[in-house]
Formats: sequence, C-alpha cells, structure tokens
Amino acid sequence: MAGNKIKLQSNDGDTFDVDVEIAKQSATIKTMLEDLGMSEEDDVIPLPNVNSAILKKVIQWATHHKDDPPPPEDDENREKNLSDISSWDQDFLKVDQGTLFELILAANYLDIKGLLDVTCKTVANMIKGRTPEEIRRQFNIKNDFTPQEEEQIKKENEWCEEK
Amino acid sequence: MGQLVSQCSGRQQRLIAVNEEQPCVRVSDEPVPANTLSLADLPLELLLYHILPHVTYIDLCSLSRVNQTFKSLIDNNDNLWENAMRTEMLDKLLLDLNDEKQPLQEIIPLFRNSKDKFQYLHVQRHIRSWITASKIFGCGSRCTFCETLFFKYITIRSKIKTMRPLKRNHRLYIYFSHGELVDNLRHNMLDVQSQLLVAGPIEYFSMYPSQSRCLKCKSKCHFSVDLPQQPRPYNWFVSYLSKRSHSERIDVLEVYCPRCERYSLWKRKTYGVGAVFKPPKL
Repeated sequence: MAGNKIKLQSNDGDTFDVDVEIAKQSATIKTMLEDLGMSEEDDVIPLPNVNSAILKKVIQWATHHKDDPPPPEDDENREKNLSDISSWDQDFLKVDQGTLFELILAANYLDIKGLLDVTCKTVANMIKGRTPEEIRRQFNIKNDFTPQEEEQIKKENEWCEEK
Repeated sequence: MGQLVSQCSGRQQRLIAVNEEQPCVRVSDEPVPANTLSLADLPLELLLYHILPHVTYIDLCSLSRVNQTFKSLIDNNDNLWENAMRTEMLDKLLLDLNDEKQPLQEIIPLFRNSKDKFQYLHVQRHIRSWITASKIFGCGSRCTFCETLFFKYITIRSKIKTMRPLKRNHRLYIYFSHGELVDNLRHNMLDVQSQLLVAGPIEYFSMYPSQSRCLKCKSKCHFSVDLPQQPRPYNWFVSYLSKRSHSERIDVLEVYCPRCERYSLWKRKTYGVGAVFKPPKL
C-alpha cells in the first residue's frame, strides 16, 4: 500500500485508493484510523452502507474540497443561507434524485459535514416555494389524506400563505 | 409564465426572481421511478435536523399538507417552530406581549403545540400595531411596535446616554409600519434621501453597500438590479439625533433580504457616529 493512501471498499466489492488526508474528511473513517488503532498498513476499510457509484462521487467531492477549512461548529445562523452553495457543488449535484438521496445517506454514514450540509441544502432548495401538490409530484409522495381531511388542513394553514 | 408571475403576490414574485438569479439544482417534474430513493425514505433525524431547518415557515406549512407522515412530523415538532419564531423575530413580539396587562402565560396553555404559538404570534404581529411600552421605558407614553423595536435595538451614546428615549432631544420618524406607510405621514414627511430609498431606482439601494447590513446573515447584501421591483420596507424607522435636519441619522429597516430569503432587520447608518446598533440576541 502506498505510504499515505488507504483502501476503501464499497458494499459491492470495489476498492478505491484514497489519500489519507482526503479520507479523513469523513469523521467515521478518521475515527477508525485514529481512535480504533487502524493503520494505513491494515487491509481495506469496508464501507458496507455505500455502493461503488456513490463512493466514487463522495471521493470526488472530498478530493475537490481537501483544502477547505473545517466547517464551523456554530450552526446557529446557517439554517436560512441556502444560496451559499458553490458553483462547483451545484454542478456536482446535478444528479438524479436517487443519487442525491444516496449521497445524503452516505454523507451521514461517513459523517462528512460539508457534503451533508450542501446536499441537504439542495433538497431544501427543491422544496422551497412549492405547493403541496408540487412537492408530492417532485418527490413521488402519495397523498394519503381524504378529500375532507385535505380541505380541513388547507383551511388550518391558510394563515401562513402570505406575510 | 409571465402572466403567472404577475398573478403572484409581491413576496412570491421576489422569491421567483431570487430563484431565477440563483442557479440551483432543479429536478424535472417527470414522475420519479417507484424504486428510486425519495424524500419520504430518508431517516427522520436527517429530515428534522438537516433539511427542514433550512426551509421557511411557509414551506413547513406546505410540507405538512403533503401527507399524514409529514403532517405529524412537522406539526408536532416544537423545535422546528421555535426555530421559525427566532428567524422571523417573533420571539421579540412574545416579550412585548408579556409586558402587557394580560401576560401571554395565560394564553399559552391554549396552544396545542409550538406551531399554534407561531400562528398566534404571526397573526398578532399583523393586527397589533399599538402596544403599551410604559413598563419598558417608564415614560408613561404609548408607542408603536416600531418604536418599541427601535428603542430595544438602538443605544444612544455620549451626553444623552442617560436620558430616557422619549425625552431625548431627537426626532424619531416612522415611515413604514407593517408594510404600510404610517397614517400620520403628514407629520412624518419623508426626507429627500428617504424618498429616493423608498421610491427611487433600485440602484439607490446599492449605493451604500458598506452602510447597509442585514442583521440576520451579517452580510452586506446587494440588491440585484434584476429584481422586478424595489424592495419595500416592512418596518422602517429613522432617528435624527438632534433637531437639525441632516444631522446624525440612523435607519433601521425591516426589508426583504435575498440572501436570507426572508424579511429581516437592516441597519443603515447614513450620518454620524453618535448612535450604535445593538443587535438582537437570536
């Protein structure tokens, strides 16, 4: 194994050689390497929750962001700043919905805060400004309200339609 | 499309304009294959802590109308609505209401959840243009919600530091209250600069980027000239720190921030250094 590289194995058996510093953007992998005593000479690190296509995308994202400063711990003011997605990330996330949600799950499992943040903001952007019917169509969600319930809930939420 | 946009409210038009100028990932409206992972398949913790905090209260209401699961998830999660109260600055109104004769604590048990409380405060903000401020300032006077906001957020330095706000030798103008020009505008005539600000070309808003700062996102926002209309203040108060015209002046506006995608307070100090802004604790 190369001196500063580790092998990551996806759940479908593919292995990827990755720089240690890039892989350590994942807090999960960082913990494996540091706290659990795994070393670079150990065998491959299995990632049973990530398939090879998604792992490849995650590595691509982490490689591009390898020199980024660590994300701030203070989350107080980040909730509404949806427009601070870089153009590279916007292009990177021009994927189908299935891949986007797989990336969210992978970022959550691997504990990559930056990737989780940018993917979740992208989903929030997809929700923003849409009517309930548009959201259902957008995300293929079944409407399980009866017509009477739907009318009642519509009335209950009339107050928030305009400032 | 243009006709549809013209039928939208002002806020919706602004949202459309902001969305158009900010490229973001848009998925087509074609049906998603049934075996594809969807929003509803994500773990609840990801929805609650990573996605829903990014959307506005209007979007929360829309989501709660999507299906039973989302309704239960959103309506019964107090953290989401407490967060929305902070971002909409309704928690400040809660403090104001608590100063009144009938404390809000007497009403709170009627709320089933924080969404109900949010709704109550949201409606109150529209209908209560006057609140008693005597307990806050000890001056025995009444003032508007705008004045209350102003005195909470503005601290006057130097020789007038110890004077009570309403006895100071300075003039306070309130131009906009709750999205409308104030009734007594004949006494609060807009000065030339304010006329330009409220009715002039959009470029005027961007002329003082270093002096206009959104207090929510802390950034110096620049309004795009592509916006379809001049952003109108929701609340706007101006204080001259002496009786002389064109003396030290400080503006506090509540105006739409395209970066935050919500109405938020802005400080816009034009002249002088005699006034400092005390930002709200969020």
